[in-house]
Amino acid sequence: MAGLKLKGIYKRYPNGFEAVKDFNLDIADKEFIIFVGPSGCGKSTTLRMVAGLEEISEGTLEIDGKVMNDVEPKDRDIAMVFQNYALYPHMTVYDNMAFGLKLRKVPKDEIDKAVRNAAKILDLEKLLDRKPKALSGGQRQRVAMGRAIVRSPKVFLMDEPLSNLDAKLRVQMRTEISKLHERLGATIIYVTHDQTEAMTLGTRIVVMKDGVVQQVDTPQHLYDNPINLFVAGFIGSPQMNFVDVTVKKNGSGVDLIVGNYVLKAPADKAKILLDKGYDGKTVIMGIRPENITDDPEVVAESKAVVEAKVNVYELLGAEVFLYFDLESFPCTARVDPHTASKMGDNVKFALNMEMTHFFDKETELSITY
Amino acid sequence: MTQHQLLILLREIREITGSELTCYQPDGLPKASTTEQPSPFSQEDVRAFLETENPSLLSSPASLFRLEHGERLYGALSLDSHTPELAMVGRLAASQLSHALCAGREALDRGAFIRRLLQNEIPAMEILEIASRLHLDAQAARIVYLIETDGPHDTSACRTIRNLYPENRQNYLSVLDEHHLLLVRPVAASDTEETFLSVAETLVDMLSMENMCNARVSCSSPSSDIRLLGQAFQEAQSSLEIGKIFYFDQKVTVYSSLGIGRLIYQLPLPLCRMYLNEVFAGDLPAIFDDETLALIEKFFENNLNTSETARKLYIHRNTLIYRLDKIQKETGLDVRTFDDALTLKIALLVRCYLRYQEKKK
Repeated sequence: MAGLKLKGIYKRYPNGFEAVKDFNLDIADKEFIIFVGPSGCGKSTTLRMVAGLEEISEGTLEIDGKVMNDVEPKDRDIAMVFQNYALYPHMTVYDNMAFGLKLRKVPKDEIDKAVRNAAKILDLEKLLDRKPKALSGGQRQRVAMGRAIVRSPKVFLMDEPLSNLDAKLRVQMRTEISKLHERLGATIIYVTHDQTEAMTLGTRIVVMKDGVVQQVDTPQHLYDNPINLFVAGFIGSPQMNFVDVTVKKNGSGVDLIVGNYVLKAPADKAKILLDKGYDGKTVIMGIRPENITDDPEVVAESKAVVEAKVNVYELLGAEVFLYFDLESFPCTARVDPHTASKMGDNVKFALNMEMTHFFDKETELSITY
Repeated sequence: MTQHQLLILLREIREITGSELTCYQPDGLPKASTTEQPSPFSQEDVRAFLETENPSLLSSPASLFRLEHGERLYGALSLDSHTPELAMVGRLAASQLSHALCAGREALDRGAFIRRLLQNEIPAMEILEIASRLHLDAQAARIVYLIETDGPHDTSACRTIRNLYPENRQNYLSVLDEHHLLLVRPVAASDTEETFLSVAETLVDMLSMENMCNARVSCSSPSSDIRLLGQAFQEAQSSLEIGKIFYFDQKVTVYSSLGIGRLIYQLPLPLCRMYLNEVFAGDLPAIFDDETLALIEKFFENNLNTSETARKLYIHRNTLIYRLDKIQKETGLDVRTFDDALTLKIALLVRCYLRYQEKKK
């Protein structure tokens, strides 16, 4: 396996459009790195540049310490699993997995060894003689993975490999891929637009938008400390609530005014807001749905309570989402499934102010990062 | 080639050479002969000769010559001649016969038929007759995919596609040149544009994964009659080219969704130059460097919204306004207004097209 270095990578098209801008990243050996972002953000283009399928307009790509910009894709020692895979309908599972190696004229005994080894890793040993039509969706996906594994590459590149599967199978395959990473000890770059996939699979996540890397971090750190409004909104489901608040110094503390409510900013965040000169200015306060509760005991003790009418009640079994407007800002609370709150009720919600985030209204950057 | 045509040809050669001739199949059995005498060679003799891969076997009372064209073996030809020129006469006759057999085979070959059909080489009145002879359903709906690879593709790309869509009466794959492959697929009644798109995307992704090769795929609109396949091929060709000119970030282009690119592509070049002259009074002003072009693209993408564009470009709104003012000063076009934005958008597309055509020249 190998590490990768992407230094100042750009992808520029003839009309001047920059699909990827100044992409810098060090990927360690055996890392499972995720490129995540909305469609058109440049994540697939970056992956294709790593693969050699797209030309790098500017910058340097190194794999295992060697510059790869001008190296042919087949000589980069990589294997890819893309979204639109298909199995060869007239070939057995064995032949499907062996086909790529046959094209490369690998000796028969080596092919056999590689295929049987991959089949063992993927638990496909008993299915080697079957044709694709006799396989389930998950088994087919595993065969597609097998085609990449038999090559024993330095780096695996996966571009939304699960997006053609149904929701249930996706969850199952997510676990499989995670196990596979552990078993192979491989360096994997994985592209997805699904933040759940990103959070559950990656050792580190690269959040991209409009061709620009927004933040690179571990899933937990990214969730707890988003660098800007986009990352805060993109990571987490339901997404973080955003409310415009006016910062007002009150003694040594800070009041956050939203409509008729005056909320107290936690001491550490109040200091940062004042130090950075936000007194009297409007900032965006972010709070995740799980940090808003309608638990009467918590509400009774909380100093940050707001009251609002529940617009939508959504029961998901293990939790309930309550949708309400806080002074015209749409908000969601993730509450206990046994909540007494129902649609149309006027409910008191307690906000856990310790878990709030603040963003500059103009630059959208985190103030408290 | 029919038995009768073959016999006529053998008799013509006998007229010239004065020798009796027998034509054998690749399995060694006689196919046609100018004489009613028993065949001078047994099936085993002919098969043994063909296995040696020698061009000829000179012997008495008759000699054998290999019938081969390209990599295809058609069998063997025997001549009962004892003249000193036997070797030369025999090879000439074998060569003549091999070419005739090849041409005859091509006429009946499904692949060759479709290839000639796509290039509009078959007279319209003959198409249905040949299709019926080849057991091809003339009324079946079909679609043409044109695959272009970045580098020259080797046989492996062809093998990948052939294994994905095995050739039968429905699928047909052909190598056009070292950068282009062509796939004809049947269209089911339930197929939609999404289905065609999905096949095209699968082709792109499979060539990336299995052959590590970057490909671009275009597809025609479905043709309802085999006689319209030539037109479908032209659609796939222009779809591929229009994609390369205007939608370079897309790997797949479908003929029915080419938007304004298709309109501009059909404009005569002098008209395009005239339009650019009218808008810019010559070529694109120097102000349109890569950065400015990217800025304009982003501005169009964000529906001429300055705040949103500035935010996406990570620049201050006033900086954006300053740059837009500068463009207006240089070109007279205020892209914040719909009319001027439209003029510039079309001008940039026209310029894209002209540059592509010049590069192609």
